Amino acid sequence: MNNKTLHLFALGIALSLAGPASGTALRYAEDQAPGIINPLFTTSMSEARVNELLFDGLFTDDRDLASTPALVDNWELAEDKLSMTLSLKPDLYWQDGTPLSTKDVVFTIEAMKNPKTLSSEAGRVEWIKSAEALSSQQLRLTFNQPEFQPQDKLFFKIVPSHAFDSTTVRRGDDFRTKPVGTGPYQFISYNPDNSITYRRNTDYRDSVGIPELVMREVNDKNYQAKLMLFESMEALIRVLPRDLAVLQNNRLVELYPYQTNSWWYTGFNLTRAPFNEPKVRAALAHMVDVEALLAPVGTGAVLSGPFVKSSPYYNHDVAPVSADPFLAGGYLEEAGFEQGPDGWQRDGEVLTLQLSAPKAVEDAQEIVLNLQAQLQQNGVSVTVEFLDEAEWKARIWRNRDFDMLLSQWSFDRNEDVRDQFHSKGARNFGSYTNEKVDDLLDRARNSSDPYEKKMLLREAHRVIHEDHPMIFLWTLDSYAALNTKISQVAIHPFYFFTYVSSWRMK
Amino acid sequence: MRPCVSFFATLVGAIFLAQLLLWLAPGDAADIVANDPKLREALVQEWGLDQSPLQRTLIFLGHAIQGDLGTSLTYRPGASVTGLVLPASIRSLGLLLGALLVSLVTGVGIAFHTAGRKSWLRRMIQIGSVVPVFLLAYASMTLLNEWTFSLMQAEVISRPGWFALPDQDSFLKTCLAILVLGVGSSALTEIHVASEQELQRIRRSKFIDAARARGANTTPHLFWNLLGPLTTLASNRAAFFLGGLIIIEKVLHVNGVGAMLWQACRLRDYPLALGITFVAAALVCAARLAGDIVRVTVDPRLRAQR
Amino acid sequence: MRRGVLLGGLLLSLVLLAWAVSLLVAYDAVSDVDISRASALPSLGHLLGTDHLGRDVSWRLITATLSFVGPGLVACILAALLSICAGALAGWYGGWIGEGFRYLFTVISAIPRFVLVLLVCSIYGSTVWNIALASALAYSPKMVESIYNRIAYFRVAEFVLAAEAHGVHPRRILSYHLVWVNCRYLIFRHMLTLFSYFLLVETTLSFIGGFGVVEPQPSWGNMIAFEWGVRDGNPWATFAPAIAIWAVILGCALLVEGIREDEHA
Repeated sequence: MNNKTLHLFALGIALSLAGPASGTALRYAEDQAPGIINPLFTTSMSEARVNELLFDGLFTDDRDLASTPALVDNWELAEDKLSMTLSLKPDLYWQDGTPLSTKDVVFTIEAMKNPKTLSSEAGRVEWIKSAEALSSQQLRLTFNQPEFQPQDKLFFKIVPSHAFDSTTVRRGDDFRTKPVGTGPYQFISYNPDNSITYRRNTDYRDSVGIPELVMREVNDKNYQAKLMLFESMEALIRVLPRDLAVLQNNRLVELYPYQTNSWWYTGFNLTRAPFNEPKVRAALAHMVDVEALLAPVGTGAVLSGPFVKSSPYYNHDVAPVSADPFLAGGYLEEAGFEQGPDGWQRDGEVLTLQLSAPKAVEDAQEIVLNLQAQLQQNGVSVTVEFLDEAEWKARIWRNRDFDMLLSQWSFDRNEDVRDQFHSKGARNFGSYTNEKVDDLLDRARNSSDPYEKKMLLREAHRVIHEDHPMIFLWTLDSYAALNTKISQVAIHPFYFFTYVSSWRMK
Repeated sequence: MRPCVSFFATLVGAIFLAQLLLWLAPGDAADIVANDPKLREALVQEWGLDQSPLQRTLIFLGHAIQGDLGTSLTYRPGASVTGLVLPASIRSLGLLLGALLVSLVTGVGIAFHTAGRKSWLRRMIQIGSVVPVFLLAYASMTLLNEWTFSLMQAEVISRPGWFALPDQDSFLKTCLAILVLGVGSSALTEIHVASEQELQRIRRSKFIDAARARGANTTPHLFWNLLGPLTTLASNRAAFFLGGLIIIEKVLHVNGVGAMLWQACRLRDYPLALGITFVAAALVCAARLAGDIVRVTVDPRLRAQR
Repeated sequence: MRRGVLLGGLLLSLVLLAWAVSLLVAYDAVSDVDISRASALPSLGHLLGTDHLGRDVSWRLITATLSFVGPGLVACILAALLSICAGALAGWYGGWIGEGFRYLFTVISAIPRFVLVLLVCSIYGSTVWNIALASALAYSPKMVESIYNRIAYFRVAEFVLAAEAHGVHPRRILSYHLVWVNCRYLIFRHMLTLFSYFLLVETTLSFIGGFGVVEPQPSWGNMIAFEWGVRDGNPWATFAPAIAIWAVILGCALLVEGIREDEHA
């Protein structure tokens, strides 16, 4: 074998005469290439990032993550808050040269709402009752109920109506191989090696700095940081915590921290005994040393409730649950458990639980194994299972078949946790119900006064914290890595490429 | 004639087997997209996941004859499977044939030297070749990268065009894939040992004795008689290399059918997985057919039997 | 060559010993997690050091035999039973029965082994038992073919015809004289090959991830993957399982070679 490697090595040196790779493109790594380029069918983050490059929404986020007009020039909300009139910026063109018109906006909304389209994004326009073009530059949106900040929800991407036959859009439509948008970059080609080339859109409403972007599929996470160091890659979307140190010390790489609106948790299934008892949940929460769980996966802020620390809704008067085995034991004894040879038990039944975690999420292994060890030390026996994406959706989302799960939630700037904690919420997997929380969340959603909303949600934070429907873990510090050739970098915490037009490359 | 019939019979059987496996599948592709039960139902209907297995088999075969293997569900939603598989399988076929060539030439070449002798070379080949493909690929890739990088740092060489593995496609990467595939997971040692045995058998046979007695050169006879067993060996190996291909493409990021099959299986994209299985089975059957034809051509006795 | 058999036998007995140990002594993988001793180098307390969660590498190496020995043996027995039945019947009766059986297994062998394993894992879930079943099914055509060839060859041999003439029950001729006396080494050799093939498949799947054995259950494959790329890690946590895979596969190959010679003698 040694002989063979030497042989190859000689071959490598011979090939080294081929010279360095071209230096005008920014190459970034994705774990998995986007399956489809069509904003109506986005199901993965890599697809969402591509949409950010190729397409535009009516509104977008500014650097402070407040909505700012993108395709829209000006807009006006009706008195009754049930409709709004928008006019588009003049002289905007699709990348194929067709002028952008309100017809495209109306088409996009109708296509997403069309049940035959089977759009995975249909939820983003559910609140819009109808869209109507008043002229080629002006349109009116009508809502189902009063909306106070509709521009916050109008960031879905607009697709060209002339690329489709009808509002029944199919996944297999030709658009998938030749997407046309109004975004800062233009799709050039799917390459044989699974990479995708984008070139800057010279007609973009702003000047675009970097002439070419290349998406490269690197599904081996161990290699992503390596390829940055080897200068085979110019950008890494999220650095694994264990690679941080080595990238930090490299003069070719600059790390950019960004605050994501996402937090980790382990949620209980409140329909299953004994996790329907608040005492048991509280006891389990007090058995976990969150700081020790966090240590091997990176740095971050430990949370006490369902908002990130920087959020206006985070209630700083509520402290995170501390690890306190003694207190935990007390709670369990109150719930009728006693310490036996096999751990805590009640009526001859030992306290056990199964912990489910998604297979694909990085660091989930370390967290789960550590958590299992911690609970075990406190007399709770835990079995662990890792589920792949399809199993996860079937078991957790559809059948709600679990005891306790490890996962994370990511939010846009609205940080609307109603889905997660309202008794009717679509993502309330644990079936958490608390009338008071329901009321607070409903009032917060319908409130037009930012201060009132803040106070309502802070109160919801406190109530939820006391109920322990989940053990709140942390927000992780995230870092993107970029080669020092790239300057003027600003990163959107969720869509990453929102400000890409301002980036410059030496 | 007979080999052709068995070619098609086997292929149809293989597809039926794959469909049979799918028949009992507990989950389906809609699981990966749909969070909303309504959307899920609609997708199941659109994708034809609610049809019976027999229906599916017949539809598949009917379309396959026309060159249409269906539509990808989750890997590249909406893309035609034929369009995905065809270019990828050409890339993979290159690796496959390359690996076959490497292991045959090396195996047989060394066998000529070592057959019937005590040789440390045989043992060495065995020790090196039993290393699984994934370990061999990963280890050689890491070593190659690190050594080249340290040489670059020391400014002994300038940056090579292929650097760094496994990122972009390059000649070196293809060579590495072929070599690893042709050697690893016992590929080389098995071909080496088998050709040694065949050589021994032929060398002991009477016609070789006769040729030697006449003072003629025995090598052409050896080669000619080795051809038959070698084709059998090669056509059997082809199926084995198809398995190794999945691993090597996955580790070295080659965008071939192997890596595609892996993704299709992970994402439960069964039309794509089925399409690739179909292509793989067709390849295996074709290799056998070719093996039969070569054997019959080489060995007149087989022709007489028919 | 005796040395080869000895070495192979020794390696396999070590694996079996490790398996027996991990069946008898329950290693508590859960409470072995201890961040404070993460990535420790080999010492007297931890012969091969610890991984980056502080778990003892040598213990995990031993426990990982649970992932492949049991399922591997089951796969071997299953494939052997299947192949003996199909191969012996096809070889004995020949004709349509023979052709039918052979067609069935030709069809199975048309799908490359690893492809079949992947399909089964994807459809039915990738537990080690499913991998074992799939490997057994995928390997059996090779075994059927060689048993069939041998039995068809001996079917018309003089001792078989003589035994038939003497009124020995066909079942006895088939099961004793043909299968046991003439095929047992062949079958054993195939079982060993299948065992090492199963080890290869299981570790490969577990290494690449997505299929195969997942934490916290150790496998030699996922042990390598878990430690690969960890900076300032304990190198033995990566090397030890890699060497173990290599050694066991080599051991099986040596044994197979040894048995082949025995038979010729």
